[in-house]
Amino acid sequence: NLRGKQILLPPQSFETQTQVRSFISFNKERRRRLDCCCEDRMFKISEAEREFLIGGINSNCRNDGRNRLDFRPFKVKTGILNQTNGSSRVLLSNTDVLVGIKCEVGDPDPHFPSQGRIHVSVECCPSASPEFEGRGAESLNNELTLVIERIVKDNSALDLSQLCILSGKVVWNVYIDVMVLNSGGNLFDAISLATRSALENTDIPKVEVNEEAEEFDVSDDPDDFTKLNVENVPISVTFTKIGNGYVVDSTIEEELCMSARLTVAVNKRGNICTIQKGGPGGFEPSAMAEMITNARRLSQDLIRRLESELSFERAKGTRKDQSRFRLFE
Amino acid sequence: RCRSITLITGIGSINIAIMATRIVLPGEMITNEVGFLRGHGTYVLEGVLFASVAGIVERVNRLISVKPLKSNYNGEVGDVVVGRITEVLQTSWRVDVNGRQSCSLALSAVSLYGVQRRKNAEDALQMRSTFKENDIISAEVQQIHNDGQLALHTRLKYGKLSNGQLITVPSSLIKRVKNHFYSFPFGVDVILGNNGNIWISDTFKRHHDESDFDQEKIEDTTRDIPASTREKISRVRNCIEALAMNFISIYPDSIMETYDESLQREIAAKDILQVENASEITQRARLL
Repeated sequence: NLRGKQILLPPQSFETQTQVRSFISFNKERRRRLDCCCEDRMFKISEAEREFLIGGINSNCRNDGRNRLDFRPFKVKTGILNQTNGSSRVLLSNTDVLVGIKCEVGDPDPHFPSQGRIHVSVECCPSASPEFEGRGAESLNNELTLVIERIVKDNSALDLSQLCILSGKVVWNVYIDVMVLNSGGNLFDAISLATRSALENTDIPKVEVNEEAEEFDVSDDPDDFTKLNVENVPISVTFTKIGNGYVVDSTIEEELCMSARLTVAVNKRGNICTIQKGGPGGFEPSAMAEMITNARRLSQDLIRRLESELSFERAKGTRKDQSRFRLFE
Repeated sequence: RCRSITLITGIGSINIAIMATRIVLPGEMITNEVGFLRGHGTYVLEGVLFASVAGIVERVNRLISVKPLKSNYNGEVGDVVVGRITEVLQTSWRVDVNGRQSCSLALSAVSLYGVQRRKNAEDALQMRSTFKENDIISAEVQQIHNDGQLALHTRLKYGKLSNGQLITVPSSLIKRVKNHFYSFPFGVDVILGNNGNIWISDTFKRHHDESDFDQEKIEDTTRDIPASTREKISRVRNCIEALAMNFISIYPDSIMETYDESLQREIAAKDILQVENASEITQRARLL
């Protein structure tokens, strides 16, 4: 009956069968208690906490004192991974997101022969949260990848024709890899902030093209590069519906109480680029219209804050001066 | 910082200077003198004593140990803990207190409705009506079993917690004080669990004329908390988090200092957690 089950044997010896049986049952109980601890660490919320939280949201004073439409402070650092063409890391309270961008020469999409190609992949690190262990993060990874892809591949976001080398044959393939290192709620917005700052940080090597001979030469000089124009890359604002109201930039406890989620991506001009709805619940149409209006206002705020953070960082020193990966002094 | 003790003997007084409080990193040499007993958090390599955790060196006569700065909660008998129910078993509950193992809370260690009586089979079937999964409770450590599992009890003033919020800080920041249930004068209650979980709620006034049975029912129901009190609760919560960010001991006086400082500087509750604000308002608490 002990097939496949691990037993930790003590150095003592057993004399009777009852001793063996009692030791095995004690051990099973002990292992069960220790195994329980892993599940215990998954974020859970009691009914009392839920009611307090919802009461707070209804009175416009959330658990940490914010209003329903207040964002938490965030910090950005770019140019931290020297093996990539561009990188950035965003710390939104506990949420920690790292983005690395690699540019490689490759084939174009047959439908768009003179445009560069963008590939996005989002992965939630299994150590970021107990729910992400094993295959727990699969559906979340898919949803995050889809939303970021739609944000970045939007026609108005980036000028992809600038990434063309030889029309129909060779273009720049931009690989955007996002890694969620720690989850403190609101992954969508943190990832969109990190992606935009990483794209701004990206250096694309200069290419000498010989059109008639269909040859091209990628420059080896690390100082010889062009930058992408990320002026129109949208930033997303996520609303979570809790009880009858909705809040922006939810924490982990708030996300445990949410019934539905709406992510709205807006660019600097105030145009809505992407809307994604998640979660099992539904929204009232009037509430949705309100949320979209708020998103247009809040995203301008976010873009302004992001740009000021990045210019502050640029003023502090060039990429070569900064210490690698040392974050947030 | 050097600490010295004055020993008053029959003849006179002797000053003994103890080693300055030392913070060590894993792998750092503590001493290469012989004759020391090694305690927790140390190891011996070729006769030299090294630290195996990052922490503060503690020395009691010949015993040297390193108390880690951040570790899982290790329970002692008499500790007040704030934990979450993870499982409801036949005659006990399993409680998670951020330790290496989950604790057990036996049905016989719970006083139902303020009455101490022997629990029968009916009570065993009604366990979920007392504590359900995911409920937050305050309890006291009654005993520690041989394998390190803690046994809790919730008699007297302990029990299910409601109408508040939970915040978790490193357990080493909570000092062992006489009273872990503190009521601030501005209408906010805190329960400082030794395991690092802190429960913040509004003050609940007990009516002495009603029986304990009704008290518990009233205390458990969701109260209508006004926005002004909520703002104070969130300010206390952010002050505690600011203290944790700056690794300062958390106890009623330090929370009070930080709270007053934040009011004096007219910082909004939500802005306390910005790094500059947090370090400014915890300055006075640091000196306590």
